[in-house]
Amino acid sequence: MGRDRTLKAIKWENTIPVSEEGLLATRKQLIKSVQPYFMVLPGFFFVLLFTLYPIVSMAIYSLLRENLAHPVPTWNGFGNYVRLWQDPLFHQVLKNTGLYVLMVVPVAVCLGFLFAVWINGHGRLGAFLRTAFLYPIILPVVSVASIWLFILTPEYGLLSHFTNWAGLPEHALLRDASTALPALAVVAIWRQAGFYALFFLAGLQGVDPDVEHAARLDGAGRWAVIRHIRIPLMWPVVVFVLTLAVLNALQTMDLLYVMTQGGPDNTTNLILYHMYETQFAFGDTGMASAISVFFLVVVALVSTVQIFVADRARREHDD
Amino acid sequence: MGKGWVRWGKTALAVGLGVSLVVGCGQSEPTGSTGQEGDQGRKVELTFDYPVGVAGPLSRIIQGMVDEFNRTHSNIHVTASFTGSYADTTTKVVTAVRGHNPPDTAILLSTDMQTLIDMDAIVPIDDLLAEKDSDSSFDINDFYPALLKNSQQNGKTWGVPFQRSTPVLYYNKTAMKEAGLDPEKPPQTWTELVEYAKKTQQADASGQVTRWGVEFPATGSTYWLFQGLAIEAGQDLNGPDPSHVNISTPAAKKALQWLLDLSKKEKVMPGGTIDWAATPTDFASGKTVFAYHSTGSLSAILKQAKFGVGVAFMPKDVQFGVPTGGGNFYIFKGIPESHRKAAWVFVQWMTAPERAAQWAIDTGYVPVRKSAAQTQRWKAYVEKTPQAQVAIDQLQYAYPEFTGHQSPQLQKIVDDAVQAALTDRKEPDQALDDAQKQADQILSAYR
Repeated sequence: MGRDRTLKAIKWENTIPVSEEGLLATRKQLIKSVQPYFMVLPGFFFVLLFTLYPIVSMAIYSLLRENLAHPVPTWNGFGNYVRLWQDPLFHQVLKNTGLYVLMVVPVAVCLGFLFAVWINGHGRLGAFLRTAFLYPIILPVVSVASIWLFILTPEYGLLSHFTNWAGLPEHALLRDASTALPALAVVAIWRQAGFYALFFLAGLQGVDPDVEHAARLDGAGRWAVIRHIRIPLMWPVVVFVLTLAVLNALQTMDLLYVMTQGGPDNTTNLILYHMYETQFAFGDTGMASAISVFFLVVVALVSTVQIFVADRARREHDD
Repeated sequence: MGKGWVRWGKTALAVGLGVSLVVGCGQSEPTGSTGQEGDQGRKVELTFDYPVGVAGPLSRIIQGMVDEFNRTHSNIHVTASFTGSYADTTTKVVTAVRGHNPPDTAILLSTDMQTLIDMDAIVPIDDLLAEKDSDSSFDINDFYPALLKNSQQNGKTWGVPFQRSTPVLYYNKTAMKEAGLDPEKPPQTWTELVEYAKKTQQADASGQVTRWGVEFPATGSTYWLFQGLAIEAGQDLNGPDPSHVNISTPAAKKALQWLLDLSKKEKVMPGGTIDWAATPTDFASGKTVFAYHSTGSLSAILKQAKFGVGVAFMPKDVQFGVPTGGGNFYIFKGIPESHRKAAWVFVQWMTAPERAAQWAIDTGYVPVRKSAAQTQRWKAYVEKTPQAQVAIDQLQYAYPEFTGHQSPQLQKIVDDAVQAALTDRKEPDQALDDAQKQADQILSAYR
């Protein structure tokens, strides 16, 4: 708004004959209009240095052939992307990542919501429950991974003590190609559900109690209140948590770095770990950059969908 | 609970190292400044990155050696940084080299040599031989030839063997005796290993196995142990030059099939991929009678095990054979001349015969020099611990570790193939054929 007025003012100044006062006024206006840009300049400098510059140079590197065999970068066009498209390992990594997101996100978000409802319903017990659900998120991921690695190790892990006690056959979850990824997913869910509960709890406490009272007076049961009052009113929070959960799952790296290193036979290799390995273990800068660009596009798409959906939800809510 | 200590130990180690580093620096500082002459030139500050690749408190031992070096050299001060596993250390050093900020010296895998040469990151030590450490009688020919195969190329020496190992077969003597076998006659062949494993394996009333016959880990250095099997079956995985590899050969296929049979057909080994880091613990706690692992884990196993520990060659199929493994010292390009000279003095000092012998005693690594194996302390040690001699004897059958251009990638390809077969995702032959194709695709850039 302020900027519009300034522009108008400048136009208006230009139409009158140039005079001493006129010039002075113009300069004042001009300074006023560029001033905000100078104010954000220091902040923008850091964005430029640490976000924009790396993104642009990454995009350029993705078009170059630079690896241990070709230490001097040469132009490769879309060669890296073509190779990526044809690489069975990359396909497998994408499939793993997709499966992992599908396993982790719905369960973690639903559990988070249920935890929040539970905590919200208890006065004094609530504080205790909150601590209980939240503590996994306080632990560093690497510790979480080490603890679970210990739990899941057959022969002497906690899980195997339990299965032995219950007379069940012992199963080495992380050594088996079909159970390694689900085992990682369980750990991720255990860690994150409590975190999402925190957001839902904030959302629940923002729901006007009068609306709920009114619904109850009209004979709505507990689940009807959740379905028809709480979830619709909290829709923006739900969308936000979903997005956060998807991004978190896409960015999983530390868990598998400690627990499986992508094995056995790449069955737990996720995109971020694959990217890391391509660059830092295999020294293939061109390919790693192409994977990064691909990843960036996926993340940007998820975020865009979130903004779009949340925006529509808010507008509907306002109407 | 304490059985999981290898992994916990690593974390504790990292923390402990942080402390010991601080303490170490605190100690060496005053000794340096009270140093007698020292002032004709400024003190050279060296950086040294090293990994820990086997079980045991190795970083404390290295820090102790570095502290002693600093005490005895008034004009050089070395700052040692423990940088995690081999892979972590390589990642860190390669990134630093690319950022034009290499460490002065580092211990990296012997198979990283090709990558480092391709990156033009290291100097051949032939250029440095003129510079002598007073304490050393450095002679490259004093090092075991088997170890130099992964340290030399094109007539030049690029790395100095330091923490080098071979895989060996650990066995539980007590369990052998109980099963009516002669504990002094470990299995010599694949067939004997299966036979002995069957005899010593134990199960409870319900048929649940309580003690396995054998464990062959397949998560850490899978390709490394597997290379041993391939050699024993008749052909090495290495090609004639760094741009060729022999992954898909009849010998390798036979080896992989045999490995798979251990769990599937003979049922003497747990299924799936057995964890590398957990194997020494499993063995020392009696969960398995035979275990393939690095010699580097010997002293940790001896400390933990409550039974007679035997060490044997990897059993043969058509021949004996093992790869060597472990780390070399490398000296980097792009550092000042004074640093290069000082780094060379440091490397000579660290690999001097007496020290090499002590290092081998403390860890279980092979004494890298013939003269180290002749020292009094080594002889006395072998008198007490004859298991340590096995690795040296086995060196006569040793091959260079699987390597080539882009070693880490080639090694991962073999790891994946072995894991794919062990987890039933591919037939062994198919897995190795696919691996060969992938490797050829990578190596074609170098042919």
